[in-house]
Amino acid sequence: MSDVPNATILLVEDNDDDVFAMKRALKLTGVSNPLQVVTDGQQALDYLSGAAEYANREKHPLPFLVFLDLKLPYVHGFEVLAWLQRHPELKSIVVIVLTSSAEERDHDKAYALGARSYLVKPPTADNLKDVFNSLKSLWLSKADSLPLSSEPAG
Amino acid sequence: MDSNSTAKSSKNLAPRDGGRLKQDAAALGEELRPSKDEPAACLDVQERTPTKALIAFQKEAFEMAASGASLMEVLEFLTRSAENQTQQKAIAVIHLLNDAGTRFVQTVAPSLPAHYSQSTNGMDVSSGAGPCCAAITGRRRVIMADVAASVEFPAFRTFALPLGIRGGWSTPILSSHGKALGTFANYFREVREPSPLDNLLGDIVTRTASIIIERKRAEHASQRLAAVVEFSDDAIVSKDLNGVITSWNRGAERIFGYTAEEMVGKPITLLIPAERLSEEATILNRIRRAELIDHYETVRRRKDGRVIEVSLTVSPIKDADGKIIGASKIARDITERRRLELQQRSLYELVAAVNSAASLSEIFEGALNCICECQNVERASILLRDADGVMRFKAWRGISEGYRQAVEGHSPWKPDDPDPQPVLIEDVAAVPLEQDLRAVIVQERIRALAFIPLTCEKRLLGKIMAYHNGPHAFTPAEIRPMQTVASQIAFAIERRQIAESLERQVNERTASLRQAIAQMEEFSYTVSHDLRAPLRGMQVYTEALLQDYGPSLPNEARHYLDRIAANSARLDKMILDVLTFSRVARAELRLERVNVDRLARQIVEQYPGMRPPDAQIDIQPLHDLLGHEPSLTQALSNLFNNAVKFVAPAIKPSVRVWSERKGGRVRLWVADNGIGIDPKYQHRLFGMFERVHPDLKYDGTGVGLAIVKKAVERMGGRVGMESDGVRGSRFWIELGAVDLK
Repeated sequence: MSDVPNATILLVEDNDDDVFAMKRALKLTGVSNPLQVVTDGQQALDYLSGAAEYANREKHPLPFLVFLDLKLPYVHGFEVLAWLQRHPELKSIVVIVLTSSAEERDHDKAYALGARSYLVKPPTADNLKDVFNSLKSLWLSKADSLPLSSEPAG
Repeated sequence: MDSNSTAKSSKNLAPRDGGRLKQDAAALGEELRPSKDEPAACLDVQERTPTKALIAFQKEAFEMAASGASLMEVLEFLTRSAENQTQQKAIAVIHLLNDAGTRFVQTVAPSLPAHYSQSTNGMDVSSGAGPCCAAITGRRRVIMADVAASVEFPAFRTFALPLGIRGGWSTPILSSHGKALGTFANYFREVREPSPLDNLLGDIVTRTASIIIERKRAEHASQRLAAVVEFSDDAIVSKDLNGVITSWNRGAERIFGYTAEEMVGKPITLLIPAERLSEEATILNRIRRAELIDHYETVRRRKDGRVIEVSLTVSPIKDADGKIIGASKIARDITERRRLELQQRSLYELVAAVNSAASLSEIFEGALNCICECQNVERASILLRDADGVMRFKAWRGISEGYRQAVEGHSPWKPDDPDPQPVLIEDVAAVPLEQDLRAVIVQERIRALAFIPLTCEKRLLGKIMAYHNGPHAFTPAEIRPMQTVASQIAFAIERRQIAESLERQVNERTASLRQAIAQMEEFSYTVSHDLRAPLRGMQVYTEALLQDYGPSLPNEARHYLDRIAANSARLDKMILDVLTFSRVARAELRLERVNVDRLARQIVEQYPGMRPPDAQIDIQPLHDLLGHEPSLTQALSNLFNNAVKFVAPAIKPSVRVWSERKGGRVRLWVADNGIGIDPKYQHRLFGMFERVHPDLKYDGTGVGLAIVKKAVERMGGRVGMESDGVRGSRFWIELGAVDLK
């Protein structure tokens, strides 16, 4: 997946098995971007705002892509989306929602709150490829504005 | 004496013409005045031998009649006097006719035995049984000089001879208008022709009798009339053209409260309220023009000052020359009628308000009107028992706040009285009451009260009250409408309470239903997220194991892993189907026009397994219908999916879809070339988790058709299928059509 920008991806997911599934799917897809994982909604907000332990952007760079589970401890995925909407400086970050069902109301609400796409869990290499392909044009046109990782692609 | 001689005698002796007779009668009438000249004019000019005696008994008869003797007494006197004139040779008899002149009804025969009268009373004059009958029918004197020789009246002969009657004659008594009133018969104990004196006697007796009979009958009629007037319920009053009262009956005394002594000679305007005085002038003017005033409704004032409503009929009174000299006035007191009308109207209004489910305050207002009209009072109230069973004022008229506060909570019935009856206090001063209560009632100047219970199904709801200023005797006729008012109020209250409790129930149920739905949604969410997470883990690791280590595993181990993966996938599919079913079952549906033709084609577009080369679904143009698009999508996808799935190996699925419009419905058909379903299993087809084909050959969760059925039923439609179990199946769903416009 050479089209994907070589920058940090943030995964917000509390379930270890799902983290495993995502890491494996990314690997099978050939996406080797640095992956940061946080396990609840509050951590996601801290990470994105650079609060507390995430203040060091060297160590915790802003992601260009967030995989966001919805059902999260402390702060729900929807609240994370809403928070992002209130922070226009972060509007270039693409959020893909992870859902466990095809419940339409969740998708509708997520889109309304600014999510770009959704992935039904567990993520598979094929699904990931589809999603990345659909976002390709977006990344090409906005390549300049991406918060690129300082680290070189792996 | 034969009939010829009778006729001849009659001719000679027939009374003079009517005019003459009338004149004679009038002259005889003068005899009532004692100091009059000799009544020579009454005697036949050719028979100028009147005896003093004849004149004397005639005069005496008139005096008797004038001084109040009865008609029968006077007639008896006449017969006896006639007998005296013949030195007792004659037997005098007077027969009186009924009004119609057809039968003898009274007989005066003082010298004959009683059985004579008994056999002549009731005799039909047309029978011609005797000379008296013939005298009536012939209007002339009938002479039978020799009874024994007579062939004319055989019945009379056999009747008269044993009584010693040998001869005689009968003279009709004719009225001033020539109407037969009766006969005067003179019988003799000897054969005899009438002498001139006999004739004169006959004439004088019949004329005198005629005058007295007429006068007595007129007197009687006018007495009857006077009695009618006197005892009439209506006021009957006469007045002259100046409006001065000339007569005043008992009805007038009763209605207006004045006696005749008080009113005769007084102006009628005493009765007229000041603001209506002009009415009298109008009435008198109309009377002068000889107009009748019929049922004129107005008001008049009684002696006690009370104003009453009356209906007047006034008609002119004329004198003998036809000149209008006054007016007679009939007045009927319609106060009561008016009150009953108002009472009826207020009851109708109340019933109408109750029936139209007006607000309780409007109904109470109508009820207070009714109570005041029915009881003829100005004060009334309505009390209802509150939640604690205490009587509370809900509506009232004319009673003070202090009174309300003092008596609130008081009830003459026990709360659990199964059949509370009206309590009527006719005079507060005359019944035992609690001291405090009496003081309050007296202070409010209430003298009589009615407590009418408001009940519904033997439960005491409250009471209605009427308050009288003075003592009052309650009648059943005025309590009955009060009870009607009470039952109307009770009905309105009961209905209101039922409506309120129904509304409360609906709200409670709606709330609990909403809660159940919310719980159901929460449950579904939990199932889809939390229950599926571990399953997903199993799937992910199984797959990773197979992919990463599969090549180094023994075949059998790989096979086991395949089975784990298949079962995990199947469990996940089942969970998803159940979630779909529950979503379809609870989705809020709003039916709208659905372009089902486009929808069906889109579904086929979405699933590669429904398109060539795997399958062929042939969709004919479909009618639009009324549905809920997401539910319809779910139902059609499931049907299409089944249609292409349950096909014999090596057969390419071929499905035909078409629609029919039947009245207000559209039926969509989905026919396949599949394995069909044996009719004996078809009834299980649409149930949850029902599978009619073995697991191994066709995968499925057994929920798909249950979802179709639930979705279609939620849209107000029906589902069904036809199959012979061999040549495919034809499923159908039927929904409302869209009106063609």
